[in-house]
Amino acid sequence: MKNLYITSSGGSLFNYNIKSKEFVKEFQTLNSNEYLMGISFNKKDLYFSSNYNIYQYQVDKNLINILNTTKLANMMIQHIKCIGSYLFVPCLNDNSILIINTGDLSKIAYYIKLLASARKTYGDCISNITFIENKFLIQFCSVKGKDNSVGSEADFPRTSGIITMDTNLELLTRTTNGIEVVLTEYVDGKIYSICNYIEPKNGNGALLVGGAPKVVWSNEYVIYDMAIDEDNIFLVGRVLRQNDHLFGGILLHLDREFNLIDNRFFSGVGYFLGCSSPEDKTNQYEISNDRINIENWKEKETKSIITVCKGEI
Amino acid sequence: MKVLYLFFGIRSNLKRIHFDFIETFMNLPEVDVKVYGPNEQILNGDLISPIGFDIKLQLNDIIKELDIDILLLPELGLCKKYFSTCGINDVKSIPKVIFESDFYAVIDVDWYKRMGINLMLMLHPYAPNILPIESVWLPPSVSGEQFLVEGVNNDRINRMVFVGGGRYSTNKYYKVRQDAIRILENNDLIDWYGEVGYEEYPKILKVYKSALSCSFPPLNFPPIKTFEIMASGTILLTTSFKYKNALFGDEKCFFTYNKDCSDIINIAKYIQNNTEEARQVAEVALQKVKDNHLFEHRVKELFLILTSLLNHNNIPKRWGI
Repeated sequence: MKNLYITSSGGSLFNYNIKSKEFVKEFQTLNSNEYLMGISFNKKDLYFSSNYNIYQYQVDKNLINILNTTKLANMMIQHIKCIGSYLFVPCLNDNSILIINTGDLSKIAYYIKLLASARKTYGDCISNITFIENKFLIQFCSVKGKDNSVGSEADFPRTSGIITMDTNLELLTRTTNGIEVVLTEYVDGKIYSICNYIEPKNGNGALLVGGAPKVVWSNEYVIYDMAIDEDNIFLVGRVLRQNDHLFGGILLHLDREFNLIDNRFFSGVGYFLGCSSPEDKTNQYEISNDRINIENWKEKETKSIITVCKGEI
Repeated sequence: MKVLYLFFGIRSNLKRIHFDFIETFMNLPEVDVKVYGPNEQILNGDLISPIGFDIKLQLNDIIKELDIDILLLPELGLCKKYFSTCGINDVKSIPKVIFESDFYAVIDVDWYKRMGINLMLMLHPYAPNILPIESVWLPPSVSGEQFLVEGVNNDRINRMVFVGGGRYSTNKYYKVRQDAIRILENNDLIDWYGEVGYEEYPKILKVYKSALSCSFPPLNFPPIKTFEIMASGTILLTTSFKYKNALFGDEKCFFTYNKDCSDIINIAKYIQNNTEEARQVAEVALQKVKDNHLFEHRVKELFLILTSLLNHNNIPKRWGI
């Protein structure tokens, strides 16, 4: 991996050179109410999203195209991902996933709405979608848990949950999977999860692989995204340490054995919410369209899956 | 005076505006406040509502049962969401008073008349002539217990903080706030926390020397954050707002920036570099809140308003409108 692209709460796209440590702002959203979070490569093109725009960055041409989704749906976009030739766009406002053909960004190819597990506001914050063998896995935060509690971002910590669906988007399973699990990815046959509340006694977070903690960070850090290549793991998020006033974006660089190589802090950039690179394995889904053939879904353009989680925390 | 207050059990930041204020009102010896609504029966182990919420129960029956003198309603949106089947309209025997805040967002403005509401208690200074029924401005106030500090000291982080929501909202009245945060953040002049929850909010305000707010231009209303920052001994930076002299007099007690944010960087740096002058401004602000803008002050104003309404007297307008 040579370059890591990083999105921020301040609406910036940064390009971080891993060798030279050079950190360059490549793009800044025009509107002050945009954050950038979702980021995903599809071959040469980089797709990244604000809360309501999707941007296609043709890196080799240095050209950015914008798809304004406010005309298409009421949304607050989370971690986007290219799977096959489709761009999957999880949206917070109505717990929906928009599916857009990267060959035609002008319209939504498919829309799936996931009913909230509770009627309270802020329930079921959809986070990301990934593809494992023959099923989709969708990560949620703030689901209805055993104690019936549902909270907003402010009501930390929140119960997390996962649903799986087959390639026709039929519900397979639903389960709670811990507290403050904000991201789940499938890399080299293993499930990598970011959990920002693994130890209730101190609120520490961890990178989990197959459910086991591999790296633990203190509660001064909140990690939002990761990128993994053959040799490296990058974690991005925010750090908030009042004692010596460390406040801003954080980039943790690990090797694949989970040893910390570098820990870099950036001030004046907001928080880091997403990261990716062309070699990022959390974004490599060269899947033929016949495995997730959207044509099969046409007769059910809107469907509802109640995401009530029945599993144990 | 026996008051029935309708509420709905929320325990987040909204609680501070709504229920914490009513809790202070309950402490007045002249009033007996009962609460009714979903999830509203026990507060801190005390039974505050003798009647459990039942969607089929009618307010008229509850009012009769509890011998209520006056009905206090939360803002329109909450009334429609939680109490639309309770027969607000059918209550004719006692005055009905509603707390209202974001009137600009109300579409069904005839609702107040249809429901027979007698008085709007406005959190923000809307001109009375644009409101559908009689109104009185009851400005925001703060909980001394949660926010007040003894004095303004220098043992704080010498930076500006923003705590609260709205940064990514599409509400047009948040635009200046959003621009201000973006500009200050890109110049490494602000720590933006976003929403942090009920408990953390006052704690964070008290850790920093200065805090950003905004008066929702072009509405130019002082939000509750104005008062909370001042009560915390934290230097307030805000866009200017209506009735500032009525609320705080003409002594300087906060700093202002232009609504186009053209001067915000210079002012933020000035506050950071002129700590003693800024500290003195914050001291004045703290005293202003202690003198006039605590819940204890405002509940007395509320009591006088409700008493006047019950006695068919003119509504006292302490703040001019």
